[in-house]
Amino acid sequence: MSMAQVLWVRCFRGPSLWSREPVLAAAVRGTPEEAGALAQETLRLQVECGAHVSRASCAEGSEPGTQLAVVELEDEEVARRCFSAALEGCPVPADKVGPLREWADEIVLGPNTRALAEAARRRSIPVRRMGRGSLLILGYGIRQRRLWGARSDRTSAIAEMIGWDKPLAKEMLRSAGIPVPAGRLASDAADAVAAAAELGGPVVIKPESANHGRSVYLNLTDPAGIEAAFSAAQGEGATGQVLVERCVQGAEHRVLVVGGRVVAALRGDPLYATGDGVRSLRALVDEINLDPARGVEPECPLYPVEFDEVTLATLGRQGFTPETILAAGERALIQRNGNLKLDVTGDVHPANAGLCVLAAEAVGLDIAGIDLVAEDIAVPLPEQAGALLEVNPMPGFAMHVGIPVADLIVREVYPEGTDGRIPIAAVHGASAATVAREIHAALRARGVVAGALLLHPRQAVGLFEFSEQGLFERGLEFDQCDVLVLTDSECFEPGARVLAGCVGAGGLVLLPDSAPWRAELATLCSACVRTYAPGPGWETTVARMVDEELSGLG
Amino acid sequence: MRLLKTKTVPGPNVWGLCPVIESTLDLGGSDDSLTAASAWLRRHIGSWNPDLKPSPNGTKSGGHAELVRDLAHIVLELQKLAGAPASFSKVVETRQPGVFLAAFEYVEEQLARECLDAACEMVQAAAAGQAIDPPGTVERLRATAGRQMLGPSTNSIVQAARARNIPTIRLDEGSLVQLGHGRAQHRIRAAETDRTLATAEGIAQDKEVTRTLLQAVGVPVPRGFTVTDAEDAWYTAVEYVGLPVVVKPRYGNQGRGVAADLSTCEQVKAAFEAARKEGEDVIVEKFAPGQDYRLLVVDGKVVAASRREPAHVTGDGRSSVRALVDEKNRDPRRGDAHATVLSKLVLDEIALQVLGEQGYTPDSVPVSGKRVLIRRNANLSTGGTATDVTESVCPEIAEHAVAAAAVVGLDVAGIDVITGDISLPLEQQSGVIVEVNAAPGLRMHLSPSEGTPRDVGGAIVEMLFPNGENGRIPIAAVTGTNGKTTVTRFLAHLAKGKDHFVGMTCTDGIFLDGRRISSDDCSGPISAGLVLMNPKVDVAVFETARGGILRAGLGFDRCRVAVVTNIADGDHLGQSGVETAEDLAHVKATVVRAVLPDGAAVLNAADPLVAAMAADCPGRIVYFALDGHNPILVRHREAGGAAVFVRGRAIVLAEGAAEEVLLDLEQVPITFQGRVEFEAENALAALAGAWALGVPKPLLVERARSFHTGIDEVPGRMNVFSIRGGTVILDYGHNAAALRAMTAALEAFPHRRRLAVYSMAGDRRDSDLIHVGELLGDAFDTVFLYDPYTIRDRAPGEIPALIRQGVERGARTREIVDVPNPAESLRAALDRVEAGDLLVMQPDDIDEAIALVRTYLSQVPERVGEREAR
Repeated sequence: MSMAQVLWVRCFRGPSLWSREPVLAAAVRGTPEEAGALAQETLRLQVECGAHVSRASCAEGSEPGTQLAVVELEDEEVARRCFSAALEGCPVPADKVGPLREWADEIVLGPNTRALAEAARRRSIPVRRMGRGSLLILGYGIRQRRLWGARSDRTSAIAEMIGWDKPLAKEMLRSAGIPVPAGRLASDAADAVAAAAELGGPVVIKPESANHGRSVYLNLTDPAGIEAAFSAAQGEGATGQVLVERCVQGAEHRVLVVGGRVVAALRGDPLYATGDGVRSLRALVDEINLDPARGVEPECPLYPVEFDEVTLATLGRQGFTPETILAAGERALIQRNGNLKLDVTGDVHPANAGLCVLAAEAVGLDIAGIDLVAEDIAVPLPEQAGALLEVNPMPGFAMHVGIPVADLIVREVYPEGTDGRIPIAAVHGASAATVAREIHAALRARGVVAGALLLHPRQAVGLFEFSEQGLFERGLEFDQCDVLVLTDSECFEPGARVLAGCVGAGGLVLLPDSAPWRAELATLCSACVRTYAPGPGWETTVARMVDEELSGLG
Repeated sequence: MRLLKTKTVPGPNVWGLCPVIESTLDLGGSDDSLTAASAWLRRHIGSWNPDLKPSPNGTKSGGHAELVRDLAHIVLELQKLAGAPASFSKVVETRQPGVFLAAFEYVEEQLARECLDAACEMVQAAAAGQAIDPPGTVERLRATAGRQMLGPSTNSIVQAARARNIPTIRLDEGSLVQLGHGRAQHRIRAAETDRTLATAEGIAQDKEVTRTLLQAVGVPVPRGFTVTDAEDAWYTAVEYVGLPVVVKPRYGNQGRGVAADLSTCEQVKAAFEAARKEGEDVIVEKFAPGQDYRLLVVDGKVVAASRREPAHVTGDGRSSVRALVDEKNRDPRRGDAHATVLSKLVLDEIALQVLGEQGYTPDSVPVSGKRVLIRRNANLSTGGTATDVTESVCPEIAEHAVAAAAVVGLDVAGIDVITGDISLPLEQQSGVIVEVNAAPGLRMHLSPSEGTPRDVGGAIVEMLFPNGENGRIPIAAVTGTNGKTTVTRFLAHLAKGKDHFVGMTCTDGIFLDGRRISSDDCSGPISAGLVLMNPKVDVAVFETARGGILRAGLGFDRCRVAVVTNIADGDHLGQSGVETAEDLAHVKATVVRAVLPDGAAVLNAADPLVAAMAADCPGRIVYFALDGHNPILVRHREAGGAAVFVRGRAIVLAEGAAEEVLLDLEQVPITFQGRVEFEAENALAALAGAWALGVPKPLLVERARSFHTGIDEVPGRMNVFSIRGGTVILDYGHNAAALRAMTAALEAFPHRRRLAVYSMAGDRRDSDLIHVGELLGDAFDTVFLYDPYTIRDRAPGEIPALIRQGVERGARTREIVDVPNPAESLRAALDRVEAGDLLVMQPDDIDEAIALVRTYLSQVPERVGEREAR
C-alpha cells in the first residue's frame, strides 16, 4: 500500500464517529485484506513502541472500493508514525522497527506516569497528558489537579530542594526530633578521616547531594578506605564536600509516605554470594543478575549488580576481586545496600510510621521515600538505635511490588467519591454557535466561568459547540457530558448520535419538538429528554433551560 | 596592639539585642602613634582622598580607650562601605591593665571579621608611617560581602520581613531563609516561597506546555510550533508561522539559546543549532515587534512592571564602541556579579557577534545618536537596563498576566510581555505574552535604572503573612540560678493548655509535645533554634542558661515572656569574666532585655538583683513572691501592675487592686502540699509565666494539678521515694543556695537521722566547695562524698577533700564516708537507709542516678528479706 491510496487519516483523543475510545481512523482504497493487514500492523508497531493498545478493526467504507481502518491509539504522534511505517509495507522489517522503537521511547509514557494515568482512568477521572513530559492534568477546570510522577500539585519546590540537600534535610529532621546518624561534612580526605575519628566506630561516606544511592560507602573503619571512599564520593556531589556519618547498624528500609500516611515499606538485606569452588565471583554475580526483578528499565524493582567502585571496594576489603573463586560454601559480601526486596508494609511499628510521616512533614513533602536503617522495623527506632537517613522527593513506585502506589497517589488528590469532573454542556447543529453564545452569556451573568478547553483553573462549566463537519474531523474532547442541545430537526446525524451516546443517565437532552427521531434518541441514552419550540427567541429560551439544569448540577 | 581573641555572638547578648563580634585587644606597650593613627583613620576612612598621606602625628591623642573606640568605629565604617551597614559598638576595659573588650555589631560574620583584621592592619601600618590603601581594602571586602550576603532578591524579602517584626533565620549558605517561627513559619529561597509548586516550576520550564495553558485562559501568545530538525524549523517558519521568527529551546530559561528577528534560512538554521544545544526540542515562534516588559505577579496581583532594554551604547560620533562600553561601565551601579544593581557590559563572543550583525566591530565609531546593541536580550545579567513602568500597565494586560501565573500555578511569577505600549491592551497592538518565569529575579524592580523602586520583597512578605501577622509564636525564656529546669518543665506543661504543641528545651534535653528527643544538655541557643525550626511547634519554652548566653547569645531574637527565678549568691562565679553576683545578674537579664514590648518579664520580688531587672524590660512586669506583703510587689500593684503570691494556703493572681484565688498549694503536687518552700516559689514563677503567656485561668488550674513530681516529669528535681520506711530525696540542686533551700524543706518530711550524698563540679571556686561542705556539716548526720565525672582541672580526690574541709567545720555531721565513684556512692548511701532516715542524694548524672534508683527499687523487697552478698 502507499500514501496515494489513503483518502484521509485522522487521530481522535476522545469519542469519534468511529469509536468511543481514542483511535486512529483512516479511509483507504484497497481490498479488505489489505486494509485489515494495515490496521493490524499499525497496532503491532504501536505495541512494539510500548503503547498499551489492543484493538484494531476494519470495515467497508462509504465509497465502493474503500475500507475504513480503525486502530486504538495511546499517543497520536506514535500512532501516525506507525501507520506511515505500516503503509510502506506490511509486515514492517525488523531493521525499521528498531529505530521506530527508539524514537518512541522518548515519547511514550514512562512507567510511573502510565501507572498514574491508568489509576485515574480506573476511577473514571479524566486524564490528559500535557506535552511530552510526565505532566498529567487530571480532572477539568476548577477541579483539575496536576501530577508529575510522584509529585503532586501540592509539593513545594523548596521542599524538594531540601530533600535533595542531605545535610539540610538532616537539620530539619533533627529539629523535628527524628533520630538521624551523627556526622558532618568533610572538605578533604584528611578531614574525612578526622571526622570519622570524632564519631568513633564504623562510618558511612556519601556525596552531599547525589541520588539513587550511588557512591555510598558503608561500614568503613580504616583511614585508607575512608580516603579512597572520599575521593570517589567527592566527584558525585555538587560542592565537592562529602558527608561522613556514623554507620547505623541494621537493615536498610525504604518507607513510602503519601499524604500523611505510610503506604508501603521495603526491607533490604545485604547481598551475599556463596561459592561452589568452581565459579568466579563474576560468574556468581551473573547468576544473581538473571533474576527478572533486576534490570535497568524503570519497571524493574532492583538494579543489576555491577562491579562498580563501591562493589569493588567492598570485595577488596574482604580480599576478593571479581575473578576470585570462592571455596564451596564460602560467602562473600557483594553489596550492603540496594537490595530492597522484602515487603514489610504490615510490620511497621506505629511509632516508626509516625516518625516517617513526621520526617516528610519536616522537609515539607507530601509524597516522599524515606530511607531508614533499623534491625527490625516492628520495634520503635529509639529502642534499637535505628535512624532515618534521607527523605527523597519523587520516590520511585516500581520497587514496591504489589502495592498500588499509583492508586494511592490518585486517591490522595481525588478522595473516594470525587472524580474531578465539571458539568459539560454541548450544543450541536447549524445554530450551535448562537445557542452557545447565549448559554455563555447566561453563565457569565451568574459569574460562572465556562469554556471549551477545560484547563482554566476557575472554570466551572465546560461549554462546547459542534458541527457535523467538526465532529467528523476532530471528534470529542470529553467522554461524558451532562447537557446536550440538538438544534437540527431534519435528521439525526451521526455526530449527533455520538454526542447523545455520551450523555450520562442523569443528564438532559434538548431537541426541537418537531424532530421525528425522538424514539431513536431514547435508545442511545437514558437521559431525560425535553423538547423546545423553535419560535422567535428560542435560542434564549433554550439557553435558560440549560443554565437552570447546570445550576442544579453545580 | 594584639588581637587576643575574637568571638561571634549571634543572638541577643550581654551587650544588647543585635549580634556582635567580641574582640579582646591587648594594648599593653602600645604608644601614642597608634592612638593618633586610629583617630586619624576614623576621621578619613569614610571619604578617602587618594592624595591623603598618612600624617597622623598632628592629631591629638586620647588614650587607649579612645583608640579602641576609634578602631571599633573604623570596623563599622568598613562594613558599611562593603555594603553591610552596622551601627552598634561598645568598648569596655577589662580587669587586666591594657586589655580591652570591644563589641561591634555585624551583619555577615566572615565579612565583619575581615573588616576587623583590615582595621587593625591599617591602623598599625598608618602608625608606622607606611602607605595604606583603603579603597583597595574596601574592594576586597565588597567581594567578600558579595559572596556571603544574601542576594538582592532574598535580601529584599528578609528586610521587608524584619520591618514587619517577623523573625528571620538563615538556613543555609545560599538563599534559603526561614521567616517566622514554629508553626507560623514560611520558607523562601530567593523569590521562591514554600507555596511555589514543584509542578508549576516544571511547567514554567516547558515553554510548549506553558503556551497551551496560556491559550486555555485566553492569553495572547505568539503562534509557534515545536520542531526537532533544522529543515523542519525553516519549513515551519515559512509555512506555518510566518517570518520573521524567534527560535528558542523548548526547555529552560535564562535566555540561553534564544535568537530573535530571524528572516533567512541561514539565520533560522543557525539559530536552531544553537538552541539545539540546550535540548532536543526547539520552538519556532512568530517574532513580536515591540518593547520587552517584565511584569511581576505576586499573589494574584501585578506588583511591579519593568521595561527592559538590552545592553547597548549610544554613539557620539567620536568614540569607538569599546570606549563607549568602558564609559558605560564606569557607572558605579554596574558590578561584575549578580549582586549589584546593574551588570557590566562585556565585549565577549556573543557581543562581537551581535555587533557584527549590525555591521560594527569594537573599534567602529558609531554616528552620534545611533543605538548600538551589545546584546539582543534584555537580561540584566548581561548588561541590560530596566525602567520602572508599574503605574502604566493597563488593567487588561494586568489581568492576562495574573491569569498566566494562575494557570501555570505560580504564586510568584515573572511574566514576559512584548508589546508596543504597555498602557494599551495587547489585542490592540498584536502584543503577546512570551514566557512565564518561576523564581524571577527581583533586582530590576528593587533598583531600576530609572523610575521608582518597588517594594516587591514587601509584597511577597505580605502574601505569606497577611493581615499584619508577624510569624511569631509565643516564646517563654526561663533563667536564674536555681529552679530553672523545674520552672521550665512546669511552664511547658502549663503552656500546653488544651492542645498546643509545646517545644521545650532544658538541661535534660529537647522535648516536643512531651516527647524527649535528645538527652544532652539542651539549655543553649542551638537547641532553641532547632525547636523554632520545627513546623509543628506553636508555643516554645526555653531554659536559658548562663553558659549559652555568654557563648553565643540567645537562640531567639525576642520572647513573649521572660522568667527569672533568682540570682541569690550566684553560681559559676569566677568563670568567663563573671566575677560577682551583679555580673551574673547582668548576664541573665539578657532575657529580660529581649522581651517584646507587648510581652512581660516575670521577676522574683524577693530577690533584689532580680527585682531590679524591671528597669531593663521593654514590656510589663509580673512580680512573684511567697509573701504578698513584699514591698516591691505591693508598690507595683499600687501602680496597677500584676503579681502572683501566696496568701494562707492559696495562690493568688493579682492585677492592680483586683485579686483572684487561682488554686490552693495543696492542689499543686510539686509543692508537696506547700511544705517545700522553694518548690512553691518555682510554682509561682511558672504559673505567673503561663498566665503572662495567655493560658486561660481554668486551664492553668487543670494543668497545674496534673503536673507531678515523679521521675518522668521532673527527673532529678525533688523526686521523693520511700525505701525500707525511710525517705529518699533525689535532687540536682548543685550550689549553696539550692542546698540551703533543700535543707529548709527537709522539715516537711518527718525523720530522725539525716544522710546526704554530695559533690560539686570542678570548675567551682575552692571557697564555693568549702562553703557547701559547711552547709552539709551543719545539716546532716552522715555525709557521703564522691568525685564527680566532671572534675575539670582538678586532681582526683581534690573535690571531696575540699568539701570535707567544710564538713569538718560543721556542727552536726558525725560520719564522713568517701566513695569516689558517683554510682557506687549513691548505692552505698541507699544501702544504709532505715526506717526514720532521710537521705538527700545529689547525683552527678541524673539519668544514671534514676536508672540506679529504679533498679534499686525493683530489687528492694528481696534485699529486705535476704541479705545477699554482692
